[in-house]
Amino acid sequence: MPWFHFDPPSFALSFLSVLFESVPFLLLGALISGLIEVFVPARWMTSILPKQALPAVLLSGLLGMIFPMCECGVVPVIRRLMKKGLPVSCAVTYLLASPVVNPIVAVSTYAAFKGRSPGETVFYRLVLSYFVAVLVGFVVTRLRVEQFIHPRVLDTLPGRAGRTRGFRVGALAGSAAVAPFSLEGTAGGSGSDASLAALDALEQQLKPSLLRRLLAACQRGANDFLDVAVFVVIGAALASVFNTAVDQRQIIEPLAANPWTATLALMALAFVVAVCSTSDAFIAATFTVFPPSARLAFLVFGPVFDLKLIFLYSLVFRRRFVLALGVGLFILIALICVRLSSIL
Amino acid sequence: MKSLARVLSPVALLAWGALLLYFYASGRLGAYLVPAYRPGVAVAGVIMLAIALGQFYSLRFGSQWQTASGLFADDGASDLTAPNRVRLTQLFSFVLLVVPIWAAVGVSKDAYASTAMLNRGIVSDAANLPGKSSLSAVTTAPKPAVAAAPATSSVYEPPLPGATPVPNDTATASANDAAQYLKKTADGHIITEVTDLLFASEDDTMRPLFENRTIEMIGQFLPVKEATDGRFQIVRMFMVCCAADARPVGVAVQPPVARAGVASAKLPEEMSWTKVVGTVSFPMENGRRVPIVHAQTATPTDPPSEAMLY
Repeated sequence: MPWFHFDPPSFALSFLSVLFESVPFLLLGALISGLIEVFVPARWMTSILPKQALPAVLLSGLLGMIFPMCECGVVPVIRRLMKKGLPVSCAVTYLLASPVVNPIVAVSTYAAFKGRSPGETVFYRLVLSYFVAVLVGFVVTRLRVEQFIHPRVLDTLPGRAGRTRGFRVGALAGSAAVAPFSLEGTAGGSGSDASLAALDALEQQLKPSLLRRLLAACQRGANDFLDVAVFVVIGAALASVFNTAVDQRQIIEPLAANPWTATLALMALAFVVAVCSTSDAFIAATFTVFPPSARLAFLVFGPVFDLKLIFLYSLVFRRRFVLALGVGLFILIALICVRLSSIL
Repeated sequence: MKSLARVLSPVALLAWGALLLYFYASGRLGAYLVPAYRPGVAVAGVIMLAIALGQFYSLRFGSQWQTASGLFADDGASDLTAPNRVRLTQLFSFVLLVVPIWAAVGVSKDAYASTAMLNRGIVSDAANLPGKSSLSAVTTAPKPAVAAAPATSSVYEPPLPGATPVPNDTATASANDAAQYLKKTADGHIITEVTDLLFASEDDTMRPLFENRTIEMIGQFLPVKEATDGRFQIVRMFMVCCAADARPVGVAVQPPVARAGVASAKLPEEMSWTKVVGTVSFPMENGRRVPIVHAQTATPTDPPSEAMLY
């Protein structure tokens, strides 16, 4: 049998099912981002986080335990949170940690591996995901935001002037803050302290009703949804080509015997199939011919970097950074998981 | 051009919302998602339609909402929601959002072709079946009746080929007790899914429920090209969340012609829905116990209401 055979109806089934599965979560994330934009004052965001980079990044990696988001929904949310003053390094940490380090994924992973060391699997999955997210967060604190944030997003970040490191950018200076109901366009949305103060004053005068603010939140959410959905469509299409047209047995299964090839094969599979983090454990549990460390690599790498996420991350980060992030995560997770193969 | 730019966003939302609601209302969603995820699709569809209608209303009757919300003036917006004038990238984004999904709706047959199934590898071992633990054939069986069997299961041995089951065996008696709670046809055949037989093959307590009993099973017909004894497979797709993660699950069937020694008989077409009636055995093959249905009949039938197993 040839290794590649494209069948349009099968492709369409897989393509639509990925969209149907992800769109409600995507819309939820987008609506939450709209609510954040309209209702959450920036000073609240900065007030809940420690002032120092180290504890702030460490805490950001755990925010998913309180605000769980899947990997699709979290992208519009962090875009808004950064606009609201969340330091970029904390946003990146939350972006990478929240799809896995949350109670929903812990429970689903436990259920999927029931009878096959579920507690151990959950522990390693969450700890490793947290470690990777925090590590990337720390790296980001050392980078200049111009190096990795998309210019369009960069222009919207508050408090940029004179503060270009990843932890500082995003965090607002002193008393200046973005008011709960911002009016982009009125003051340019540039985020300078003067313009933020002007916005504050303007919004106090306008005092929009709750209904109008809710409508505004819906509108923002819809805009965010459409922005992100374009890239989900592309990612779902590419993943579905692999899902239906490629003979996975010929490519993946012969690699299961060796810890290195097994780990790399399942990470590559996680990248192309792009399954949601809430359900990927059920898929991973079926790869019984693969060693546990390879399955762990699948569970840790998939939620932080896959085909559709390349396009989603490109909404926030520069393309070069997205590629570097993908390669870095791939190597880091592979090294750790192969190392863990001796004890798992 | 300004009005065209403003209309792209609600049209895209309308197209998506209508699509989601159509799939939910028509029941086609059953082939795409597990039941737990389907209400989310309906809710998302309603929200998208509501927002789209709100946007159309604001375009037609005034700009209050636009002013309040920054409609098409979102500073973080990308192509489709950028303001007021149509750019090529906006149109491209719009086309990318709307055309592929509706084209896919037209092309999809709500089922995988045999090549797509085979590409994933047919699961014939319960250990490779994700997250399935219950016996779908059992309706209201009290747990003690089924749980009584383990005490005898360690000494359970499958009957030799051609042997008749011993009725007064303790395990058989327990199985008989439990079997009365299984769903049955009017003819007394146990209604079975392929997953039930896979689990039974690896579970000593479940195996006697099916062994040497007549079952009825519906699935898609898939010939086994390398088989020398005329075997084919009855296959169902088993999904965890959505059709993208679905894997084919198959049980081997000995065709009625092979058992009767008849030269040939007309078998169903490949991938057609087939109803098999036959008895079940669980012989050891390649070091593990596998279920085999010895078919009395294999006839074309209508697809079940839910094509996928969950």
